[in-house]
Amino acid sequence: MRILVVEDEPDLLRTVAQALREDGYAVDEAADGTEGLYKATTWEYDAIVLDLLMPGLTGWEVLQRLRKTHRTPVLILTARDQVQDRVRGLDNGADDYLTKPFHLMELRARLRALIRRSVGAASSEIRIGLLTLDMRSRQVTRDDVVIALTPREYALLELLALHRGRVVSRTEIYDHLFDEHEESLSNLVDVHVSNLRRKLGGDFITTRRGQGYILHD
Amino acid sequence: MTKSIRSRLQFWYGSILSVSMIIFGGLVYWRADRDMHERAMRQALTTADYLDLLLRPPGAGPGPGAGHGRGLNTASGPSDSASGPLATESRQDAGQSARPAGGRENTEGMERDDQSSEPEWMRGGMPGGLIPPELLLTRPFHEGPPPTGSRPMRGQPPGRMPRFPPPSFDPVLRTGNGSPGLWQGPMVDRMDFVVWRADGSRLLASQGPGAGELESLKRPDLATPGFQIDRLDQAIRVLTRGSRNSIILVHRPLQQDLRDLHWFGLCIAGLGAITIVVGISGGHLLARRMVQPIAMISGIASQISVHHLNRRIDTVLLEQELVPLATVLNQTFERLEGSFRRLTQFTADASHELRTPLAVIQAQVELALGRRRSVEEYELTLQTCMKSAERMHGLVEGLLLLARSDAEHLDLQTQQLDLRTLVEDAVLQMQHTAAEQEIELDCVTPETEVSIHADPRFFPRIPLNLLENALQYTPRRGRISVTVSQEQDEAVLTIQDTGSGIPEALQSRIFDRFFRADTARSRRTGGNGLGLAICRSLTEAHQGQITCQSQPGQGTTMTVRLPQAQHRPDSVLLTPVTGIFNNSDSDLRSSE
Repeated sequence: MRILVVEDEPDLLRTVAQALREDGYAVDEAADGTEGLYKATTWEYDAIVLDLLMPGLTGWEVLQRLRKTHRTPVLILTARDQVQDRVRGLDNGADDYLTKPFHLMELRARLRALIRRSVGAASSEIRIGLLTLDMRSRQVTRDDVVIALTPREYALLELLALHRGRVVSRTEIYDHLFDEHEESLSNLVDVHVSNLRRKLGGDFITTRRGQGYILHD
Repeated sequence: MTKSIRSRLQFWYGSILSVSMIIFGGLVYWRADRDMHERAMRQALTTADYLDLLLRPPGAGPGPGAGHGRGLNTASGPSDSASGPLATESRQDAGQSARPAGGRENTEGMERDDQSSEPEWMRGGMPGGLIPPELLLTRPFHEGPPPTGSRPMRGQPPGRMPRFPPPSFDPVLRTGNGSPGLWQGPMVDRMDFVVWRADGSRLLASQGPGAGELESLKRPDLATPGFQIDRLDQAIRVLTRGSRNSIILVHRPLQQDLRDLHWFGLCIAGLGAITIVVGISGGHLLARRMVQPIAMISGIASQISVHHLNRRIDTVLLEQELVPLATVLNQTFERLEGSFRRLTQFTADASHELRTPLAVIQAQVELALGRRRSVEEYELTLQTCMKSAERMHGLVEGLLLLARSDAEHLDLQTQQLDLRTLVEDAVLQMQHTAAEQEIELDCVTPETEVSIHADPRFFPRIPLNLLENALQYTPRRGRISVTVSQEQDEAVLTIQDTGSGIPEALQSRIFDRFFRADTARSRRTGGNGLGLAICRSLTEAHQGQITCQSQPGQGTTMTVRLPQAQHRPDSVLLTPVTGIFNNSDSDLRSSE
């Protein structure tokens, strides 16, 4: 999953981005509204963390312009905590609202919920056959036996699982697994897929030539 | 006296109305009284005149023997008489014209006798010579010019015979036994009279009810010619000398008139009282209406609370006298609202500014504690936290300073200091930073001392903040010039940089709290938007003023003016900085 964090306070931006990366997300950073809008409209993100008071374009403006073309889930992170601010944010198209100072725990949980909602998943657990994906702990278990996966592998599995039944193209996998700074060698995806197959066993992931991969139930 | 406008209004209105009514009523009554007396007197005089004329020998006619009696005959012949009541009388008395026949003879006799004896027609009277008044009715009158020697009636121009007999006379003669069709009612204007002969015997006396009073009277002596008017309690008496040295006395009783007058007075009093009552009730309503706009203003003022600061008093329909008050109130509400808005804004800004470093610390610590970290990571975390803490510290100190100076709690303890030294110290402090940024920093001060009253705890902030600001906005290899000078009785500090300048639209706002002309840059260098606001606050606390001139792209000049020491008294008065969270009034327009 790929997340964009737009925040003009450099230390905070760095901290949040690091926290999310440690969670296994691919994270892009933007230090002002203009940069944020540009990135948000250029790449596909699974969620955007957006600060409101920023130089250049404010969070409001970014949100409004973004919503014209994209339905990316947005979580607003800001020091403005009055009711009218929240209402305005939510009415303008934000999906969630978190005030500073905040707990990282809460930020992560809300992001997970946002992403879940955007793909229509009901809970943070996904069952595929005998496999159970726990998105909270980022673990895969079969019959309560944890299968060891690297963060990337897990991210890939989660992506395919959330979109299961649907073909996910390679490009999509790139967009959702790697952040802007990583080189995207087309090989990498194949490598991760084959590793995943090996570890999971079974016929979970099917290749559709020329289209992508699909995870079956 | 109660403090209520309404009560006072009512009281004074009621009092004035009552007093006016009383005065008016009193005057009316007095006038009526005088008029009554006047009228009575005139009636008495008329009657006296009438009697006088009655008793005169007729003489004005054409000469003796020449058409004698013609004049007299004229009146007795109805066809000859002119218009007026005279004719009426004559006609009415035609029935009694039997007597005139005799009277004619009598008058002839009169012509002959003239002054020395009584008129013949008088002789046919009662024993003792008292003529019954009814006889007077039959006396023939002549119209035309009055007999010579007769005085004109009071109030009548000479040459004109008045109406005879005077209307008031009739009821007198008809002492209640008058012929049918005549006035039978109470004797309203009745009069009584007595006429004495020269020797004191009565010649004529009325026989009405009031005659009794006069019976005992002796012939009075009339010293002066003309009328003598005696005003008695219950009557008016008129005395006059008639022909043949007779004395005529007319007694006009006033009882009825006084009764009428008293009744009139009561009516006035009653009506006056009613009017006063009505007036006072009206005054009650009046007072209420007068006070209503005040109540309205109070109502609106009391409605104004935190949530309704935008209400105003409508002055369009307001009474003229209250418009200034309402205008002042509206202006006060305006300022209040403005202050409140700025307060809210300030609070929001302050909390935002404080929350962000807090969020950093919290996030950093939470992340660091989330799992096992390396020592370097912990070090980095701690450093970041430290930075944020320092930032918060600076912010809190700045906010406290501003809040205290707003609330006049700065407690400035000034000493006489040399501005040169203060500025040079600040320049020294910033030397290092300037060098790092390759900015040329120079300082020019005069030879002589430039004394100001300054508190050494607070004043240095001013040049320091200004220098920090200049350094922030001046690019590398730029230049900052600091100058200390004297202008008249002011000490002047100027700091000029070759920085990016400030757009004209923003120039008035740079001293606002939390205002940053370039947010990104300010944040990067750790600025919090309070530096210049603090400069202004402290400058004004030191009785000075600070101004800014700037050309975008060329540079900015900050000028601080302070009063020089010798022109200020030693005891320091703290100048109140305009209201809490208020920017100066010039910002009122721009910061909206």
